Amino acid sequence: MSQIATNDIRSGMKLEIEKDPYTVIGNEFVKPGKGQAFNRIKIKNLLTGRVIEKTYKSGEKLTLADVIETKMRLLYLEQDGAVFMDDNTFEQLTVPFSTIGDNKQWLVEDTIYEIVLYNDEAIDILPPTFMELVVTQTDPGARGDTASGRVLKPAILETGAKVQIPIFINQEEKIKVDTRTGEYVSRS
Amino acid sequence: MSAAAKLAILKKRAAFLQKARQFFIDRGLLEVDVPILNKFAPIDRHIEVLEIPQVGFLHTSPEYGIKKLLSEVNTDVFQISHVFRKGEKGKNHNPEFTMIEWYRLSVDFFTYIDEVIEFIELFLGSLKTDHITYDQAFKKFANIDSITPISLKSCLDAHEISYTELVNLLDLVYTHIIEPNLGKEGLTVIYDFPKDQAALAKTYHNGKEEKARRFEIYYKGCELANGYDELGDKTILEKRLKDEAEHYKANFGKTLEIDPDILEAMDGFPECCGVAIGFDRLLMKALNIDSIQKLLP
Repeated sequence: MSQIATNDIRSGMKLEIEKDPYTVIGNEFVKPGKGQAFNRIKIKNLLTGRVIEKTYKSGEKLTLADVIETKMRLLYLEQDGAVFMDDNTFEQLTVPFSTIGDNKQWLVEDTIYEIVLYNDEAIDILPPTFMELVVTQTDPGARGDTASGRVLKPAILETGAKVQIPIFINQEEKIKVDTRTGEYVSRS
Repeated sequence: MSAAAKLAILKKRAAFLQKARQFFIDRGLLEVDVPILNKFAPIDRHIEVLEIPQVGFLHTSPEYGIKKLLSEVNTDVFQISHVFRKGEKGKNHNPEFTMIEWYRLSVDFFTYIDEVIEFIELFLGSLKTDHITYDQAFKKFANIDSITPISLKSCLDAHEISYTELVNLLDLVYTHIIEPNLGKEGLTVIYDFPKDQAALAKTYHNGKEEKARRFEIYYKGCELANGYDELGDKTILEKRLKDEAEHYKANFGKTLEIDPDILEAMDGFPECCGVAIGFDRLLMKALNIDSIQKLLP
C-alpha cells in the first residue's frame, strides 16, 4: 500500500492505522520555536465512526487505505443482507445488514446507492440524500390537531422507516424524505 | 477574498512596516540588509533549509549575516527580511515569511525584553505582561514538577493526547499543553530555557542549574518573538553547530557544512542581545485573522 508523509495529508484522504480505515478530517502543523515539528491529525474511524486525534512527528510516513466509493444498484434483499450490482461490470456484491446498520430503513430495490469499499469489502452504504417513499401506515389526521400546535404525526414508510409527517398526508401517499435526518420534505 | 478586503490588509501591512521602521529609527538603530542567499546554511536541527542547487541556501533568519556585521561594526542594527523554511506550512507557518530582527549592544537581558514588549505593544496595544520561567510554565500549566520522561508521559496520558514513538515528548507537552495557555490574557514571556535548547544564546548558572539566556514571547498561544543574550564564544558555537549538523543529517538526510565566517565572527563579537519577531503573526493577531495564509500578500 502506498505511503504518504504527514505533511502531505489533506482532509478527505483515507488512511490505514492499526488495521482500521480512517478518513482525515483535519491536519494541523504545530512547531515550537526551537524544537520538533508535529502534525496533529484528526481522523474518523470508518468502521466505528469514532473521531480521534493523533500527533505525528512531521514527515512520518503513514499508509493510505484502499478505500473507494462506488455506485451500485440494489437488486434484492436477502435474509441477512442486501445484494447490489454494478451497472457497468454487472458484478454483484452482498452487504450484510450488520454493515448497513441504520441505513437498512432506506433500502428500496432498483435504487442506486453509494458503497464504500475497504480492501474490496463493503464497510458502509449511503442512500440517496432524498428518496420518494410510500406511506404504508399512519393514522388519519384528526381535526383540531393543528390548533394544539401538533402539526406532525408518526408514520411508517414502505422501507420500514419511521418518520414524522404532516397530518394532511394520508396512507398510500408518496412523500419525499431527507435520509440524512429522516425528515419529511414534501409531497412527491 | 474581496479586492477591498485584500487592499485593507495590504494597507495595514504597509502601515505596520512603516511603524516598525520608525520604532528603530527613533532609537538610533541602523537598518541593514544582509544577503538572503548564502553559500552556507544556518544550521538548526529542526529547521530545514531551502537549497538552490549549485548556488547556495536561502537564509532561515538573517542572524548569521547580522552577526558577521556586528563583529566588524559595533552598532545597534535591525533588519526586516523575508526568510525561508522548507516544509513549514500551517495556520501559523509558511515556508516564506517576514522576520524582523534587531540587536542591541551591551544591554541588560531584561531591559532588552522590555524593549521587545514595547515593540509588540506598538501593534497590539497595551497588554498585561507575565514573566515566567520554562520550568514554572511546566509546573503551572502541565502540573509537572520535575521534567522527566515519566512525568511527561503521564501528563500526556492525563490530557488524553495520542502520539507515535517518534515524537519528542518534551516538545509535545510544550506545544500541545503549555503553549495554548501562554499569553491568554496578554503577553507571556518565557525565559530560562533548558541549556540544550540554547540555540545561539549564552548559558548561565541560575544557582541551581545551567540555563539558556533565551526568551520567547507569546500572545494568545502563539509565539511572536524569540530572543537571546547572544553567544560570543567560538569554541562553544563550533561544538553546538557540529551537534546541530549531526541531528540535521539524521532528520533531513543532508550534511550541512558549518559556515567558517560565523565562527570567525566570534572573534571580537560584542556583548549583545538579539530577537526575531514573526511580522506576519503580529499582523494576524492585530487583525484577528486566524491563518497566516490568509494575510500573505
